[in-house]
Amino acid sequence: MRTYIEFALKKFQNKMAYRLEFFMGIVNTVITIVVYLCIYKALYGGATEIDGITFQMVATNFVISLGLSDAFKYNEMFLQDKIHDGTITNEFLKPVNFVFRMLSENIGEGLFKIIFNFIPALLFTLLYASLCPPKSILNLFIMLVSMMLGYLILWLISFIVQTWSFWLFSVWGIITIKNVFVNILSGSLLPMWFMPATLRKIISFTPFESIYFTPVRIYLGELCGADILSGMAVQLIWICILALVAGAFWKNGVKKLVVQGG
Amino acid sequence: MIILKDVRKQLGNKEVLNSISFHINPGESVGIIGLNGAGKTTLLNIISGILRPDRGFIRVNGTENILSEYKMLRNVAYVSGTKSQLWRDLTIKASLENCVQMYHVDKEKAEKRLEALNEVFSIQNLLLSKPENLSLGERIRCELVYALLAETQILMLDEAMIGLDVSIKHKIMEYFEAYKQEKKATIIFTSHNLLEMEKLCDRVILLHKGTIIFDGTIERLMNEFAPPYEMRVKIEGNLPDFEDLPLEKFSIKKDTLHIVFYRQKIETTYILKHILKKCRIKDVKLTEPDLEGTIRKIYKREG
Repeated sequence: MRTYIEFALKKFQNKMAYRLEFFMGIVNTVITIVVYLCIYKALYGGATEIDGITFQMVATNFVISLGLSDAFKYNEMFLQDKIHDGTITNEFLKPVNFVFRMLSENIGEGLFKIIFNFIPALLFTLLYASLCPPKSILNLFIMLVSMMLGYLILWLISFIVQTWSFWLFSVWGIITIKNVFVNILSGSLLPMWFMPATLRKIISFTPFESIYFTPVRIYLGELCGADILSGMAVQLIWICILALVAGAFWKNGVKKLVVQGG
Repeated sequence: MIILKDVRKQLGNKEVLNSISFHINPGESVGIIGLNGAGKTTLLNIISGILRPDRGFIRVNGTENILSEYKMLRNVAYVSGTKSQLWRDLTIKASLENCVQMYHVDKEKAEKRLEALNEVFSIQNLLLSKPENLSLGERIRCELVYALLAETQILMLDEAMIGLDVSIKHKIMEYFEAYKQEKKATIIFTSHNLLEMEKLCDRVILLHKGTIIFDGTIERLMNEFAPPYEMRVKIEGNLPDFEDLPLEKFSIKKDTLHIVFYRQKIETTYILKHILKKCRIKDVKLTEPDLEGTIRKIYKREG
């Protein structure tokens, strides 16, 4: 475990070396959030709420989901690059689990972006728009746990797509399509509240709702008591399902590599 | 102990390894020699477990698939001249720190080892660079330090000296010799540089089109397959009679005798004494067969 924490810390420290990227990250997150807030401010047209959803709730949803989606971005071509240049086999010779190593390094990078991009961007946004406070300190704490589960779901979806590099020459196109699906169906571009009931019903059977929308609802207090538990249980179930799928793809991909030699 | 029995591997339509069998004892250093495409890297990949054989038996210290056991992997280091082990986006220092963590090396010991390795590999000024900013030779030096930092019992070096300049290569070869003696490490080495082979390896395995055509010591290889010695002797006086001597060839041009012979059949001193019986020797030039010439001869024979 200590080794994986070290991997995460190394990645965190490494990110600190890129000062320009650090400032550009803040600017990028602020611009993205402010642009979306402007659009929705115009759509609200001075109304305080639409269908019981206040502008403040929408703004909070955008700050959390767009901010986190920026923070959770990492190099999704990592596995493909390793397979193409052949260094993936060298990774197998390292006495650590390669998948956990990838995850811990991505977590290290994500943590950096949350602390140094998301939080400063959040503070800048507060100058422009007022956001809903958390329902309670407990809700904020549970939201952080739910956010971590959401990250794992997002990471596993990305990892599954990355493992297709074992069979496909390039997964760039699939990753792009995947990202479009994630952005739309997770509610980070269009808040779930405004989606048609049928679409929302369909999305509830997919892992996308659990990525950002469950933490947002816990934060706002839309989910209380048993609903929080069931929301987080759904997140855990998706993590288990996706981990099984990812494990199957990974195992078969590695088998292909060591049997066929790439 | 590394054991391979009847190992076969086909990649695409090409049979890269065909019925490979040998064993390597602990502490032995073995060189794998072969032309391009002979199957050297495939063989190392199979030993390391990153490639599975189609048929055959393989055991590395009693383990069939070392990739499945981290404890076993902590005893193996693999350096490839073409594939980097270092973290592409981290500094060399960070990669080495990761290595120390992964191989469970005590931090104090690691610092001492790094200090000692730095004296040989001179990487002190490279520690804060990233692999992409290094030249090939610099990167290879860092790769070697990364591999040696864990002091593993099995060391696989696949063309691991490419890009190194002569002066540092010499120091590194000496380091490997000492490492072999002190740590009793098993070293498997592939290289096109036969001087390195001769210096480091107790034994060589010659691969040709996926099969082993020789497995033994360099001394035995030279005795059995070395091309003949060549001697040019400048003489003064009458030409001696060579018909009774077991020479391969002899000729004379002006006052210089050109003699071709195998030392297994006749000693150099015997030939010189024979010449001295009839004439005076003004100059002698003896060309001994080297490992490169010997191997060239073997491959020529094998086609």
